[in-house]
Amino acid sequence: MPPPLCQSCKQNPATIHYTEIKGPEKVRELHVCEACAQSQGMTGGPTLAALPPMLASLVKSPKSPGAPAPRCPTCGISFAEFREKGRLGCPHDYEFFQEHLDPLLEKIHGSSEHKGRLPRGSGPEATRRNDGLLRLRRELQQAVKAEQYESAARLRDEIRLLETVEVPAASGATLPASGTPTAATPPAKERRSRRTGGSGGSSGPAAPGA
Amino acid sequence: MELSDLDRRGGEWLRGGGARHDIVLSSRVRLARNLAGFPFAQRAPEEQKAEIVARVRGPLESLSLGTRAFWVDIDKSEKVDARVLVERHLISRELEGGKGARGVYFGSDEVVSVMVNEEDHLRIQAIRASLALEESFEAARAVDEALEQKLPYAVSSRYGYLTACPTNAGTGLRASVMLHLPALVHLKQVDKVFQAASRTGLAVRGFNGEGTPAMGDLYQISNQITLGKSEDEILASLKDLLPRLLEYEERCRQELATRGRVKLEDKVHRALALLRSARTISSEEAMQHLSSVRLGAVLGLLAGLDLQRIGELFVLAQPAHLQKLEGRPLEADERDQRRAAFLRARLA
Repeated sequence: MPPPLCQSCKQNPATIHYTEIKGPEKVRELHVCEACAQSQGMTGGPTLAALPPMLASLVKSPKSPGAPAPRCPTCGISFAEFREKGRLGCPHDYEFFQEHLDPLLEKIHGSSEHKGRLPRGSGPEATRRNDGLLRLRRELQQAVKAEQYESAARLRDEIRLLETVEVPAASGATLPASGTPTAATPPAKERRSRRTGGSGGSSGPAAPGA
Repeated sequence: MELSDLDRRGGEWLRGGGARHDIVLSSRVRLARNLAGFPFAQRAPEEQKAEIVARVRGPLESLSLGTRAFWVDIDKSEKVDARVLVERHLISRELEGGKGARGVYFGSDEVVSVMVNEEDHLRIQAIRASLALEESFEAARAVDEALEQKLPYAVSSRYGYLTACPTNAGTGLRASVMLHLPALVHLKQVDKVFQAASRTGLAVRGFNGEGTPAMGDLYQISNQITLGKSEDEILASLKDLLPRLLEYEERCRQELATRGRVKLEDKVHRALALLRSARTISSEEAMQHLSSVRLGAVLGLLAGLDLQRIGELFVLAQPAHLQKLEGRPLEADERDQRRAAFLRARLA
């Protein structure tokens, strides 16, 4: 099967595949040839403005056939990379790769749903906050790498702020070891979280020293 | 860290007698935990790994782990010190060979240890002598509960505790017992144990954990399933299989002691004589003979030999411990000579 043509010049084969993920349902793909990518400086179009490291990793693997595999927006790992290394990149992967992971968990454990104790702060609110933190930390890491110290400082502030947000405990969050979790926590299929901004969605008073 | 800071005799789990100590050397429980809002350790950049260490140090040091407790920065440790901790089962080979900021916190009795930035941010372990799964679980859980008051964990209501490897997700609980099965090995029945274990979702490993050979007839049996079962159910899966297993080893020991009495006595006494007179001996050979001596002591064939002291030797005769005792690095040949001298002195 011949490689797809560059979406920009429509002449050369597309060797650079760019995927923009704005959430699990919103994935935008761009396939371009190397010449067009260079002539656009890979920063020309608004869609290419962000995530240079991700592009770099794509350039390194132009052989991937068809659509590139989606990557977790908070740690950047693809499911293929997980398969190769056997380790996930971040807690958000459980949600992001849910459809691939569930069958695997079933195979390993004969189940894909937890039955046992859970600490406080295990509700969807906490998950959203934590995913937001993961994302901010990744952006911070990239800003530091790119020597963008102003945005790094801003991101640090955002992280600090988000960390002080007290998340209300999920009802019945702490289960006894012998507890029957069915009544307290129905195996709620949490909807995948939207992007959580640094400051929005806070509730409750500041936590006493994290 | 100096070996003299640690107990010269080895951790409490090597010494204490207790329920079924004739077969069960130790009971261990570990809980895998990760901090919320950070990538898993292997994916975290160095600054974040250092931040994780910095964050957990305070909460760890406020735990009460006996009379004295130690924090060891593995990334800044001498190789031989890290290896001593591996040999004492306080840290894993993965933590020893890992990269970047990482460490371990443990009490002087060596019951509880918490590894930081191994595969997961936190690995809480409790290990006790003989058959004491409940006690080990309670010890690990107490630490877990104290830490979760101060550190937000990565959890989800659907998947429980989120871990770097999906094989640990859910409870993050791995419970194991270390069994001494010389009679089953001698009568070539040990494969049956593996089969019985795997049928009930349990895994069998060697003395030093995953991927290591079963030296000295020592085997670790642990749960594989961590998700979809409660902590109690996981502990029960081990506890259910154990009585049958112990009975099987016991029957084989009886058979050896009755039908093959002379052969058994010969083997045990030869092993002790060899350990008491060898001038050079490898780790493997030492473990093999220590196993026979331990069996002899349990069956009352070797009067005057203390079972607990033999247990310690499984750990103290290992390479890094010998080098610490000697106070300098030793080549393999030299080590085998030092080991032989050490065992002669201890078993004199």
